[in-house]
Amino acid sequence: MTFSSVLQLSVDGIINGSQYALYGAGFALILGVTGRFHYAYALVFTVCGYVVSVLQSSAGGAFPLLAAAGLAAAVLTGVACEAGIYRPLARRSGQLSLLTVFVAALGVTIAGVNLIVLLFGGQSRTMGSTASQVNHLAGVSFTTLELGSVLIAWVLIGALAALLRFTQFGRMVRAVRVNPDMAAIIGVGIERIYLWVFAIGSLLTGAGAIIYGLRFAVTPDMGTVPVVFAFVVAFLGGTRNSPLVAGLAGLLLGLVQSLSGIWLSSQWSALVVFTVLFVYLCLKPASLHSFVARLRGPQPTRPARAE
Amino acid sequence: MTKSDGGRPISAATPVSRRNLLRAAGLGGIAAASAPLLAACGSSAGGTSSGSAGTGGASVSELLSILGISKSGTAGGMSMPLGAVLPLTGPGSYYGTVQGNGLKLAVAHIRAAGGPDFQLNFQDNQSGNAQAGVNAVRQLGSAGVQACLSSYVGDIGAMFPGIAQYKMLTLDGGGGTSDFGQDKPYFWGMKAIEPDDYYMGAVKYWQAKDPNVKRVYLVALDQGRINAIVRANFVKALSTAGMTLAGFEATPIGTNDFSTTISHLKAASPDAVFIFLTGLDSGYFMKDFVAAGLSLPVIGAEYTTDALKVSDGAYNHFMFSTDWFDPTKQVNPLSRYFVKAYVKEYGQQPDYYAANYYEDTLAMWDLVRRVKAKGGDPNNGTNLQNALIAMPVFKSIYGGDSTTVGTLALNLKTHSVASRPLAVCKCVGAKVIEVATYQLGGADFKLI
Repeated sequence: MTFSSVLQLSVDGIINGSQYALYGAGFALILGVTGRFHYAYALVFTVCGYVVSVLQSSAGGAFPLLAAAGLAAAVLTGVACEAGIYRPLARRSGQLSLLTVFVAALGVTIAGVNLIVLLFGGQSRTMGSTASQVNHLAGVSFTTLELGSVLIAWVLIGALAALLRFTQFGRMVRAVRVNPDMAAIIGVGIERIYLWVFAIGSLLTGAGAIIYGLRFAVTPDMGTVPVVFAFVVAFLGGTRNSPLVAGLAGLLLGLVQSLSGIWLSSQWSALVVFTVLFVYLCLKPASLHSFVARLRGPQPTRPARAE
Repeated sequence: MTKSDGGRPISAATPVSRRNLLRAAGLGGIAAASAPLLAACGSSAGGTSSGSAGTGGASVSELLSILGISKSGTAGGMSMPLGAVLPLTGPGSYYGTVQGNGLKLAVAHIRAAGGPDFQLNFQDNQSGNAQAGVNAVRQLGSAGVQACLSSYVGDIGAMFPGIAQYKMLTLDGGGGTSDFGQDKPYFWGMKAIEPDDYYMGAVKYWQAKDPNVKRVYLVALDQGRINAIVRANFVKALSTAGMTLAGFEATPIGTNDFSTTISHLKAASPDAVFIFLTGLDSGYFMKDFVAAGLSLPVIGAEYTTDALKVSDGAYNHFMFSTDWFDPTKQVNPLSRYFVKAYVKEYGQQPDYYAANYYEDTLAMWDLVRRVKAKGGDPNNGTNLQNALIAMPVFKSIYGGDSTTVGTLALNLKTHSVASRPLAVCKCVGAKVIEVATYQLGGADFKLI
């Protein structure tokens, strides 16, 4: 394989990895703050895509308006999942809420996707303009849409990171993420924060869905693969870290997946993704730290300085 | 201490009673269990994946006349279940819609003509999901279905054991028998072997139009152990024209990002590319292919309007070699009758999958008539198969001429078609233009 092929694979990895970063950042926020395994992420993803596509074909209008409608639908769906399904179930399930919420999310997703098939059929739909300009630079090619998708993903991830880091709302979210009991004691409305987190996470999900629909197509199962990547990236990046860390994890995952094509056929790309996750879980940072410490051997202790 | 809602464990967690846990799990289970119910009610634009169709205003006496059936020989007065295992969901759902349209139109015509009342039992193979295929044939077999139309080569072979177990005569006009479904009990392919029968069309076309093509890259959908057969047969086809294989890549069904495949392809520096991809995959491939700045000749084994849509104009660089039914160029009376009724019923031109399932359903009706004429039970897969073996020829939408209906003959050894008109076509926008025709094995290859 030539250098230009490797460069092309790297660019492809950055493009795909940026999308995985966007998926993972939203998922990690929701999972990290609320503890909900929000599998219905796939449904939110699909709903957004269909709203944009259906409105475009039936009503027309400027694409930014359609995108706004899709994002609004994504936010509403995500918030509805939390308010109407997860919260009541979690209240009743107590410590087993993770399992019951996951089962409920799975069921809601299956039912919701099939409802979409019932209403709109199983065939694919397109979204947005039909042509994207191809650019060639230093032997690599990418479309304007792909470049835009990378920029949008990182702007959104950066905005989320800034929101959590520099705003009072962000401090409240982080407080709930770290210690919900204490946050509640000092007057942070946990339930309200959860709704906001679902809204923000769903907004990122919707953005990812619109980019996906523009790059590929809108299909009833379009959310199935992104939710898997969202989950993997959230685990790799950690659900309690900055969205930028999750984003970096997504980017690295995309690069590894793409560059593995140097040696492997594309039929093994899914294997690569889960191998990365498996290796990470086996060598988690805590394990890695103790492994490195053992490699170093016992370190001499410094004598205390005499006062 | 104030309690959160249990989303995060808190120090004084509410004890969970068994009743509450079961209730919570039950809610999720009900949501999941309702999905098949919704799926069974699924409908799609341009046709329904379940339910029935009208006759499209077609004259049934005309149909009887075209098929040469007397009013007393329609095998009417009976109801019979007919299974249909189609890709109703997943990346191949386009096929399920158009196949279902052709099938339902035929059932409506048969019923209106005084034939049996075929009770359709749709099952979803989820675009090649093996477990879905196994479940489908089990459902049909348990329901006593003895006649079935399938797709995806009996869901990539997953249905074969069930078909043999239940002795369910199955006709597959979607995937045919391919390489691995030949001579399987009760399973018959009603179209050319895909992709093998299409290779020679591509090879002969390049040989005739572009003699510089010597090294060809093959991209095919991943079929596991079948990949080796697909590759070997392609090499054999290439060798007939002195061409060689530049490289081979298998991609999972439903792939939408072919960047890695394109990189491998570029590294192999082929003169041309042949793609055997189904559903939307070939549209995505062509999109990435053109975006990568490549302009090599590409011939594929499939064409769908769904893939055309997602290709973003890249299909202008695409050609395909396959069974081809051009609804605007009607040849025989049955095809003209079919197209007129289809357009009236569904408001769109039929493609070759709709045509295949229309004629396959008529073929099933033919078998029912033969069995009934001999006093046998038509709702018996063995009887139906014996009738097929006794005379493996059926009326066809393909072939024929302006006054004669075409015929479809089956090979008793391979369980696949013995002859089939095939074509090489190119895409210009949304239009498809035939550039060559040929028969199985590349015989009678003619440039247009």
